[in-house]
Amino acid sequence: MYFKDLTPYQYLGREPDPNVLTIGWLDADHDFPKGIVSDAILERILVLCFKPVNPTRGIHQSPFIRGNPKEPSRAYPVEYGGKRMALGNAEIRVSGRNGKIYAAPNLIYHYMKDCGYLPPQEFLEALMD
Amino acid sequence: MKTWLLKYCWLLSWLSFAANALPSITPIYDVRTHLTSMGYDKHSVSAITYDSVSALLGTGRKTRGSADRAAFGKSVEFLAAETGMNPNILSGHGELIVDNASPITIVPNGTSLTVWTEHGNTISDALGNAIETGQPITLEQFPEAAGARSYLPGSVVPDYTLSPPFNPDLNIMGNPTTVSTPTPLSQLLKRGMGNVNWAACLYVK
Repeated sequence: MYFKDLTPYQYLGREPDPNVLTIGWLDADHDFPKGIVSDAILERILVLCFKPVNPTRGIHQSPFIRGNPKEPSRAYPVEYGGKRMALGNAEIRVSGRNGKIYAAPNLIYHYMKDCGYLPPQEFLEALMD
Repeated sequence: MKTWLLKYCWLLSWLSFAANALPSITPIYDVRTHLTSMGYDKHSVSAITYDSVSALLGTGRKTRGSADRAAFGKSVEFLAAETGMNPNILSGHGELIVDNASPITIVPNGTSLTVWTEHGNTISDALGNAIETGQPITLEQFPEAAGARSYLPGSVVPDYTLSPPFNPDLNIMGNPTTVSTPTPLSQLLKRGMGNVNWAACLYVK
């Protein structure tokens, strides 16, 4: 599911909310900005992944990992602080300035870590606030 | 109230006719669209759809469902007895695995299938819980349920795959049927099951 960064969030049939903005809803058909992010930001994202929001009953496999098309989708395994989980069916939320909330798929961790995705600066600042 | 009851009785009669007429009429029947066209409140349509189809095809409480089960064998009872799980609710991660062609299956006699979103869409874990516990389902609370529909016996449906409810973990409630390995819908639907609810996504891989 692709959404352009910083557009009103409207996943799961909900009405667009101008205060909730999408971040990191990538697919293989759209280019995305690339750059390097610090380990601290990646760790912050990973921590948020362990507080999943809006879990769904389907696994979204990364569009940037080749799998067997005949096999079920595979989630992206992560580990932090001795805990393990798999990414690909939930979101994270980050509170920003002026009442903004950023909604990202939890695969954003993989997109940033492995694919070089560079989210908008205001999102990165909100993460570290 | 009287008007509502008349509409409901008329609806059940119509559904009975539709079921008996199968397969001479198109087997795919979107109950929700029909109910909406009758003037039902869109927020209560999903719940009515579930109740109507359950009443028509049976969940063990209705005469019609019991008759279906007697006519079509005991596979459902065997399944439930062996696993202790409710065979009428299928829970887990769901998707349609499309390689070169889109796989399909046919809903067996005495069984209907209710899916709770549009083909290709996802459902929240919370909607899955509402299905599992029989809570009222409204579009106001679960907007992703738009496009929910029931397929009557003989309907051609996508052969969705149900995967285990872990990795990532889901919050499963009640005692629905889950699987330990990815299993196609065609292996989960049997004859005479009554109404079966798919409490999983319809995501297309």
